[in-house]
Amino acid sequence: MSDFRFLVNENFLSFVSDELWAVGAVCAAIFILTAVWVAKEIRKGKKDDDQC
Amino acid sequence: MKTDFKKNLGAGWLYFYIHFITEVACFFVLSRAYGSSIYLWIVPLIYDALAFVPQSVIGRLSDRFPKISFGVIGAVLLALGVAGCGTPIFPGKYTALAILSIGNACTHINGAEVTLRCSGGHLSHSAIFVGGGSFGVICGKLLGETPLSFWFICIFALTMIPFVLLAETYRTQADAQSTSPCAAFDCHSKKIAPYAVIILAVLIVAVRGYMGYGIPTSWNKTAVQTVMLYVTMGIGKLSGGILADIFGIKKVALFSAAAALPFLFTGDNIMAVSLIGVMLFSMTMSVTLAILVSVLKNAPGLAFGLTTIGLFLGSVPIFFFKFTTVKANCTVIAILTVFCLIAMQIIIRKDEKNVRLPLSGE
Repeated sequence: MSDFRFLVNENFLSFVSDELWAVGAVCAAIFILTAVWVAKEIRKGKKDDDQC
Repeated sequence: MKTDFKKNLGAGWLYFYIHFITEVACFFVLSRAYGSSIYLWIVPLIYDALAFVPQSVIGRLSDRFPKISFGVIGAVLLALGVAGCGTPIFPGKYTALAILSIGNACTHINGAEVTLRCSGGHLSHSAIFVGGGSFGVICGKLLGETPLSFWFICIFALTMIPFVLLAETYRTQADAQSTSPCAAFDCHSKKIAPYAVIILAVLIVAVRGYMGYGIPTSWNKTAVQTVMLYVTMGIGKLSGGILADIFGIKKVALFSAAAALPFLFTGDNIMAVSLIGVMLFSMTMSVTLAILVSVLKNAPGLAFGLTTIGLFLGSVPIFFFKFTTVKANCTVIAILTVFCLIAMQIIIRKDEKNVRLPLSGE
């Protein structure tokens, strides 16, 4: 017996593919935006530390 | 500079209640509105994505535009979302769910902003705020199984507005006293690059998010036992922050993560043992938030958003596969816990000797 099993099959995933693509696209866009903001904040924090 | 950790705890308790109502509204809808098998799978995934991931965007907006009350916006959106799920007032299958999720994200961000800014570098405030969620989740689930009207929950969601406005005064006061109210958070190691601290902290949150679903709880079969599980989670999250303020962040983080493991493994069929493990395991929640705020001192909203992104990433695998044997599950949990311990050891700096500071005015 396998130690794990997949909860969804290909037929099911194709049925909800539109929703999954939409969710994936929104999440990917937010991840990129967040990474840019975090990098900006870290740079700003470093600058402040240097000035101190 | 850090103040006494009991100062401004009222903000934490106000947001304990607001967070409670938020989760009641969301889990009432989730357990009530989408009954068929296909929706049972996709709806929680969409809800998780839209409630957790955009919190970084809302957090960033809240950091930049503090005059916008995201708490009030969140309360209104939650009420609209609940109403929309009960009666078809919005077009599309998922519109009401999206409104509900964004409402949830807004109240969470405002809670984080208020409790982090007024805490003076302590974890108790945000820990009390996050603790309220677990009580709300189980209440919402149970109410969803009763014939209670959607409109009742809709009005219940709106009752949080006076509490939000009251809590807002704590943030206004904290912002007036300091240009950087979260500067007192200083718990990450300076030997590690800030990027690495953030990546490791988000990974720890993701691991926690995954483990939260993977904890072996074969004993959990009745409604009362489920209530016990969620109440214990809530108490664990709440007490984790308070204990971290008293004993030190690093001690509490490492002890709770390591001590939880044997209880979780041996408690699969014994409720009391398992609950001790769940409580210890939940204690690390506010620690990771403190680490992220410590790096992103001027952006507590964005820092909170990173923790929810981590939670989402951790919860995604459970939608697609599950372990069928307790042995495999426990092995994965053990490996992930060891990873968390090593990561926390690296990124959290050594606790100060006298962590509990004297009462202000003493």
